[in-house]
Amino acid sequence: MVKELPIDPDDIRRSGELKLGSIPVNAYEAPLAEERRRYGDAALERIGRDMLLVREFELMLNSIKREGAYLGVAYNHLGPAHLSIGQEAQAVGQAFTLDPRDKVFGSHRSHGEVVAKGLSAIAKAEPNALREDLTRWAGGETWRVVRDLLEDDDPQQLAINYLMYGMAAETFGRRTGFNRGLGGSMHAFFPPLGIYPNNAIVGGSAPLATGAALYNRLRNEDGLVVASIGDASTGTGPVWESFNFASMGQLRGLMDEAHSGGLPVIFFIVNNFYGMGGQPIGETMGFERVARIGAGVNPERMHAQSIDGNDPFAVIDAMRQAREHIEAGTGPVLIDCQTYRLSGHSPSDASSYRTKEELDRWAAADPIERYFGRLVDEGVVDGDRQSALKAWAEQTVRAALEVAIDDRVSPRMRLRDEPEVMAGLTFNSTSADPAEASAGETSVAEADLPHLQAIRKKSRIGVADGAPMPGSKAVTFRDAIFEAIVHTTAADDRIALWGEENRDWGGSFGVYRGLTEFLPRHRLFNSPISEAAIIGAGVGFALAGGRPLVELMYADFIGRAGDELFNQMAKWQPMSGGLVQLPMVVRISVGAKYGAQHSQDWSSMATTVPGLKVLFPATARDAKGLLISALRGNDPVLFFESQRLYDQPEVVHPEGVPVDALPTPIGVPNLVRRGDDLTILTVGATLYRALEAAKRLHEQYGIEAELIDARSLVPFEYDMLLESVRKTGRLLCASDANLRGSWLHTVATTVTAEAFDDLDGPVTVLGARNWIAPPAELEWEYFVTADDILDAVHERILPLSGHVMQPGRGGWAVPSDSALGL
Amino acid sequence: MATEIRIPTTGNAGEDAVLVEWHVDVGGSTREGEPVLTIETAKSTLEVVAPVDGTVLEQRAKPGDDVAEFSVVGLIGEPGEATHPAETHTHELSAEARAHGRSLPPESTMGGEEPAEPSPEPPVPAPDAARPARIAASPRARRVASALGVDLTEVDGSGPLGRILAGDVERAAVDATTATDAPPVQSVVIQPSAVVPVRGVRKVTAQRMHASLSEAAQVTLTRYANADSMLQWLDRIRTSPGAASAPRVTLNDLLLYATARAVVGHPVLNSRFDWDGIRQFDRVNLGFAVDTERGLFVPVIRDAHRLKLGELASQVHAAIERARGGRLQPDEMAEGTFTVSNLGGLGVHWFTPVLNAPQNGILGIGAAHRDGDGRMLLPLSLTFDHRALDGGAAARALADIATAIEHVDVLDAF
Repeated sequence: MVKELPIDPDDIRRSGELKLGSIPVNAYEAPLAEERRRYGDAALERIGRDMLLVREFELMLNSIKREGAYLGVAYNHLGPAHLSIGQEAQAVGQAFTLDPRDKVFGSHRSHGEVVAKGLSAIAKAEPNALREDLTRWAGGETWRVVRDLLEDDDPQQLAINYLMYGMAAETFGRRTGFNRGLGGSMHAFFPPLGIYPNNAIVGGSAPLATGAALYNRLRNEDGLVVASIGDASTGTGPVWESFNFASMGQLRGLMDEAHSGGLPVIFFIVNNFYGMGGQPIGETMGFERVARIGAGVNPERMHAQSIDGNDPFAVIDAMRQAREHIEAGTGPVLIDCQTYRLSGHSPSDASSYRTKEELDRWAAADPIERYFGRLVDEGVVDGDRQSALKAWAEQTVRAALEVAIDDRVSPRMRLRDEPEVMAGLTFNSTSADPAEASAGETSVAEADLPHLQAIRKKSRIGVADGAPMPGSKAVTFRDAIFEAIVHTTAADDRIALWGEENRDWGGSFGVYRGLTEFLPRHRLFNSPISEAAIIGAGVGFALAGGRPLVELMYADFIGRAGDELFNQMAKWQPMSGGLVQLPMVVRISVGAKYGAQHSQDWSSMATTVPGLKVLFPATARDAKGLLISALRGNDPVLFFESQRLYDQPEVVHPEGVPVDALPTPIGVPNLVRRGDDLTILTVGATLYRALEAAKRLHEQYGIEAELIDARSLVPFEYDMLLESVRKTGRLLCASDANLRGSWLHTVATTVTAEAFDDLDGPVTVLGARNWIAPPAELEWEYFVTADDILDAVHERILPLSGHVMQPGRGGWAVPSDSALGL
Repeated sequence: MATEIRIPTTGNAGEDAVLVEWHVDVGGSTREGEPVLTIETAKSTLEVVAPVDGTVLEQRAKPGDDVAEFSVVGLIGEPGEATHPAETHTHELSAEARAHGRSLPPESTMGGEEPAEPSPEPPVPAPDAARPARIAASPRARRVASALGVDLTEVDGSGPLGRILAGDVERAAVDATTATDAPPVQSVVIQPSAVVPVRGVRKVTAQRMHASLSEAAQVTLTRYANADSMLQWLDRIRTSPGAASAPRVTLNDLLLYATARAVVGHPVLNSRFDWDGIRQFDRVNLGFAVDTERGLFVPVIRDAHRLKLGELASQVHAAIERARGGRLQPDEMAEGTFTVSNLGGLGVHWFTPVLNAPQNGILGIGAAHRDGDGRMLLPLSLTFDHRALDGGAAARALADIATAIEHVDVLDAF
């Protein structure tokens, strides 16, 4: 496709001046009488009530942590308590205008936002739908406790009891909590009320909320998304990446009309002026005022403003304005909500970093006291109303606490008893129901897609008359991935693709060449060079109901997206107690010939983090089948591809690459070659070097190797491998991952234990040397070669008559190298 | 205070001795250096002498008891002298201490008493010359060696750094025995014309036969079976229309066929002996002895009682061929429940087959001959383990085997 955005040198070189415009600071000003007219006295009282309940939950935790009891109820809580006493106006003001379907993503200090959003949703939800949501969550386990022990005739109060119980039980690690007690208070969430993950990673919610907003925009869904992030989180890269991702020009300039507009996300900076103890303003950041960030991101300055976060009306006003901007299609919005944490960072915080005078002055500006003072002064409520509501809050929290700490009704999960339970919470291993997917929007019909037609003219098998065929004549690994994506995106509109240089260019290695003609921009777009936002937005997109297929151009860039891959993508299924699904696939290309920062196979590293399926196909047929399985599946998947293989036709599976969308089962290795003398297990492109080694073992030494391609590292079914090793008694494993920490060592340990008495030699693991990957000219000093495999067989397992070893060190681990740090 | 009578070292760390007799009764007097009791070790009989003059106050072991080396078996002192409380009597060594040939520290002394004499430091055992150096062999090689009864010290390893691999063990097991070419020695002692090393199959056979005869209570019953019907049937089979294309059936096949079907009805015989319990089987894994140049092999036909005659015959012939070619795998000789040994072809009539331990039965088949009435009689010799079953049960089983042979042609009729 031709460029849509010409670069005009005359424009570029013309002189002028960039004007950034102004950003309002504490601009809200309205008499209480106006707010009474706008919202009504009942709503004003509810704002006060909600602030009291938000604070009471924090007071309860504080009391439990410091004194081991709350209102006479004794309990010892092992976990943390990151409290937000003093910030109630911010939480309740934020939630006040939100619709139940609007989503909030919180921080590690977000009890207040969770409770406030829950209260707001309960007040606004349709009662029958609300009851349905509450009774269905977690198979009704939370509901049954509340129904039996926290029953109330008033449906609103009953729902509030549910909210407080679910949150308390989750905080205390109970199976009946919002997330089966596996998330804890820093990670609690409850999607039925629009409460999306709290996030213990600073700023972690920014990319996730961006992705959820992206879902709304690209899928034409209503609703806005709020990311509550701290002021100190503006020091992190993923937060800046998210600001930009939500603002990128194509959203308003290049998407078709139906999908045009900035993302409906509010970056709600809970600015309490401290990280833990460090101060962003004046100490750790240069912006002098948080809201200034907006001016650097887009021409609308993200509609940024600084507001008085201790006045709920100021917060409500800012949220109302934000909604107007978003509905006008000019999101995102940045709100610098200035407030103050009267409590410490945690109960162990001695507040040595701030003065008593500062604390006293902010205590005098306590949002709850000031708010009720105004309501009483103006006659909205009686003078004793505050204490009556405080008593109600205490009673509500105390009742929830008593039930939440009762082991008989609020037990903990027994994680070790049944391995299948934790496995089932980590991976659902289900696939999307084709019936629930609507057909994907495409620019042309699948059958009319030129690139697909070109592929269809090629041979499905890569061997003719016993000789390998060139990629121009036979379907390649690259073609197979293309076909898998065409099939699945045409069948399911929820799949959207993004990554660096994905559109027009077709990805750095041409895998998407021809796809721009097939998928409209709202299903395939170029992301900024923002690996954290690429992955993090995918996580939010999936949590919201989408099925993202995103790309990291090189495995080496995993580091740039480390938190999003390993703490977000890997965690939310198990941290939800298996109650949400995160169907997401990340294609990751493993480089070669590009030296130390572009040639690393980090698939082994990825397997060390529980919560990610890790696939690494090595043939065109498997690439197509496994990608189809991954895209239809409902689990997070890292899909590794070797750049060595993109032009490789199918020479392993005699049946070739299927024309149809045939899934390959995830977790089952592939038996590539049969033999009785030696088993070789490979990962990824090493397969082809092992095939060469097997050929030479056969021709030169009469040794028949049985060759198995792992295909899937997580999960991995051992049956085939163990059966083979029991037969041959010998196992050699090889991959391009660095030897130290290679996943193959896990395999070696397992096989050695399971088949010990069958082993006729030590299980031998080969991998890339524990150096940097050198430039292309030196590459085969570094990676495993067929010669390395023969040497390892000869020296470690079974001497080969007449074999002459290569000079230098073999490809297996030796203690003397280890002592040198290699 | 009393002096302990201790058992000296048996010379083999951890090996118990047996107390043969006391020479001095309780109350009798002893003189230092004179025998007080006799023990027997694996190697010899030893007199244990009294450590002091005095009176035998107590005997803690009686003739026939196993007594551990360094254990206290009696006390010598003044008549009427108090001895230690009963619970401290036996100075048992822990298994670990025994394994290391060292005694435990002396027991804590009683209040007011003098410390017990430190037990003499036992000699540090010299490195056991008989114990082989650590052998480098793969786990699989060890498993195969154990199954084939191969001594790894006699196997050369072909693996890295001389490690013994499974294939090395398999080759060692079937290695043709070679005569030693020792030079002739002038001597009045008769010189063997050849010395055949007891290794490989010979060694396995030797060990098994010796173990069988030394452990089981073997009794052999004999009787005839009328073989007329069987021989006629064999003729009919061989001349039947399909015979040319079917596996060749031999008399031996018919005997195995009949035996398996009879034995399955006698689980007391179709069983294996173990002191923990006699394991009876309702399936017959039928072993049969095959004499080869390499030695005696006993391949096992699984579930022989269920096989049709043709299936059985083809499996038997294949096994015989593999046995003669030295290609029989260890697992093809495992898991048998009953065995047949046929010496009829060599003209033997009666013999006493040796049990294939731990199986409880083996049937010997002799050469058939005609009686005065012209009937063809087949001699059967059934050896059974009297530990597992009694004569009557064995006789009934043998009668059923004979009946099955006599009616072999109609065994599968119903």
